[in-house]
Amino acid sequence: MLALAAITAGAALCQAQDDEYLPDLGERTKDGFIVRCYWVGNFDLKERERGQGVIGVFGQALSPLNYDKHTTATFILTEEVDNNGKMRINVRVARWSSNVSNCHYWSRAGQHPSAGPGGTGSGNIAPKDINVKASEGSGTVSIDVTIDTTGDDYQFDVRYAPLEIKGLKVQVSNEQKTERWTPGVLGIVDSDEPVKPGKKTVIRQELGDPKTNFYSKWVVTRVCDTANLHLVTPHGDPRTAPVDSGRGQNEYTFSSATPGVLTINFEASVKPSSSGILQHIKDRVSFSVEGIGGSKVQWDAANPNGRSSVRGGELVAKATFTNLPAKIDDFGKKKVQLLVDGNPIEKTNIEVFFPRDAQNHPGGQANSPNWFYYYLQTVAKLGPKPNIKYPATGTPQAGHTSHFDPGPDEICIDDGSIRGYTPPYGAYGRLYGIDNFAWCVTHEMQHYKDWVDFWDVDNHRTAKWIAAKGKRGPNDELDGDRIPNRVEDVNLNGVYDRGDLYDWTKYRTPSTGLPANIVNDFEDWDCKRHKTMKGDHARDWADPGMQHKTLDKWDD
Amino acid sequence: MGRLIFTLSVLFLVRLLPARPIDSKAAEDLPALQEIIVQIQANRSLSPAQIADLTTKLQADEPVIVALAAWALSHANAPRDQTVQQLEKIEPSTYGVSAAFVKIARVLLTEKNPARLAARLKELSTNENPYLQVETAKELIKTDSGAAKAILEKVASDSANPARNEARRALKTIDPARQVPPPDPIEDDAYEALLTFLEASSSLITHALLGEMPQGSLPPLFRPATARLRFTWALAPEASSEPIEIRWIAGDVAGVEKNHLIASSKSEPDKREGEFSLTKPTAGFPPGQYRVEIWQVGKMIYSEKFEIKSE
Repeated sequence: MLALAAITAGAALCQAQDDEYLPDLGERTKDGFIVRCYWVGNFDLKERERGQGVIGVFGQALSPLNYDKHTTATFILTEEVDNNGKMRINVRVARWSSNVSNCHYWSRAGQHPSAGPGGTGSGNIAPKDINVKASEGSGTVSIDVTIDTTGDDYQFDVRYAPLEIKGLKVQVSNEQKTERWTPGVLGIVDSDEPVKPGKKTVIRQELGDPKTNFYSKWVVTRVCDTANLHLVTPHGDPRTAPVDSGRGQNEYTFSSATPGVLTINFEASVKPSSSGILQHIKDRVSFSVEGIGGSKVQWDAANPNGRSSVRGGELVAKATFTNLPAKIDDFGKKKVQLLVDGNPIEKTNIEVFFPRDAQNHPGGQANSPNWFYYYLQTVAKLGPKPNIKYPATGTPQAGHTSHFDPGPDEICIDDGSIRGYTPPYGAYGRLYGIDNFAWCVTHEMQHYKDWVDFWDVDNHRTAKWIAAKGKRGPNDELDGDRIPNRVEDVNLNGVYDRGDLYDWTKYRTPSTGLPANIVNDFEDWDCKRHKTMKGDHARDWADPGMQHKTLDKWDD
Repeated sequence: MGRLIFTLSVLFLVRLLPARPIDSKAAEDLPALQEIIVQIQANRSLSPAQIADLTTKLQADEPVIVALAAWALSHANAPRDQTVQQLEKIEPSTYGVSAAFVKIARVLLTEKNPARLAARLKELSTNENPYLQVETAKELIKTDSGAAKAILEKVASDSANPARNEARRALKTIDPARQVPPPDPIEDDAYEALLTFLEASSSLITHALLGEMPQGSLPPLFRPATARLRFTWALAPEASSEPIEIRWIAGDVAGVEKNHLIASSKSEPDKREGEFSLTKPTAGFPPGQYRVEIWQVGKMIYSEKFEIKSE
């Protein structure tokens, strides 16, 4: 998520330490600033002074003081912004601590005589001695902290016994002396540290080596308020909480005009939403939406490449898609993103639909409704080249009704194929929308395929069947039900018995439970082969349709 | 007169035409619809309940049901203005065959002047809807057979027109000597289903239900003392000669379960006319509502209700 303070780069800084009160992220200070980020720094320094005795210029054995020094420092800063986008850094806590221990000497002979207790010091770092600069670039952050702990305020007592010379010998004095040492806190400078949206930024800087006598480490962590720039529109899950218009919209349907147009009005909320802040950040905030097949996307002039503009207290943008895609699978789920400096900070999905009954699909049969054009892509074809047409050339009232006609060798699919229909033997009861369409088209294609298989309809139309009708040969068609004798009388014994498909002498073979709406064996056989046929709901992107509004409901 | 022409034309249907399976749920409504059609063809008035039921059926998804309801309402004693309003309301959602019958029904109910009716039918015949072309031509046969013939010939010769079979049959009604091609196989067309259904309603060219009383054979209403119920019948010349079956049914009679089958019997093969009868029980026919059903090749082709009333 975006930290508003962080993106108001170059704003004035100030430093203060106000009795260590630590406000929450997002809290407003008494002077009107909002706390947007916390910077927490931890410094750790380890010095190990080691030196063995050597022969001095006058022949004495000399040795430096050996000791361990451990210094730590901590700071807590708040990054704050006011309603005009002015930013400042506020030092809330700054402390140091240092300890000198293990004081001893190391003789030429390898002895380690103790040299006294050392010493400890700690305290706050005064505001005048800590100077912080922070800025943010495009997806990065920089910090420059200087800490001056060389002053008297930071000195602490270290007690140890010095070496003294007695005759030609050097020995540890019985009297300890006190020296004023300083902690030696270092600063930290780091530029262009990458910032990952929604995640804390950790800056780590080391000097020396932990295995050697000097090692220092800074670990600075920046944590920002992440709840202040959010997608308002689109918003939510279109499958479980569909919204079809206005604020929070997440289902979008192309218009019924030609060419079809789909408009997405993006909205993002910003808190605080003062005009100054919005103007500061608008150029760095943008929206994106996944493409919709061959549909051309155009952003409003105020929103080049999805860059946001200010409307009221929100950041907005408008994208317009023109022309419906050619493939049904190009509709559906599309990813929408809210970005800052090109980095996504929030994502959601929308669903894109075609207007079911309009006629503005690209290609296909002119004046056919969109459901006919797109649903046809979801049904597996039967037979070599089924010629499937929408039979109304003007209005549905002017058209044919669904049928397969082997004369012109064409299948017609009418408006009834998306309304309610209860097929004979259907496993799913009453079918609607794409379910009914899939059943009807498959049913008619099965008729076509059977005609192709039995009577070579692509080349001979009805001629072979007419010639075979009323005859008794295996390849003839005695009863006129369109099924050749050999296919009905499987064992070719001339009797309707076990194993036969149908009675080859009967147009409509009687049987127990034969539905009254089955008129002949050809219909019965077709229906029985597709008892479980229904549409693919996951590919139904019609409005209304199975995925629009209520899942698996065909008419909303 | 329109009704007569319609009836005549369907007499020439060939039963081999397959049709799209009518919606399984809607198919349950067909026996009642068939009963209504038979009633209309016998010039009997429909009850207010039947008219209300037909009006409801105009909203059905199944185009065959919508078309039959529109046909029935426009040929029966339905209130004109109210029916026209309903037809206008549902017309935009109709298509194909249902659109054809709804449009014709509207014209038949709104236009009583023969000349103006003919003019409006001619206007309708120019519609692209192929079923409307044929159905309007059939209606025009009685007033302008020349115009009707021209429309029908155009449709009949169009090998891609799904109404061509019916156009050829209608041409044969105008000129029985005319040679027309055998019907083309058109699978699943609702028009074919509709016509096949209406054909069944017209299979019986004559029929009569009579009760034998001492004073002679009388039509319904019958008395418990009626000695014998007789149903005489004759098949239409073009109807199938498959045997027909009669079912005597006690529809609503005290002491008997509803729609109880009392008796059934079949005609002899190839017999085209005859008589069925049901003899009085010893204690007489129990008063109540009865009906006869006539079936042929698994399809009910006629139904008639009657009452046995207490003395």
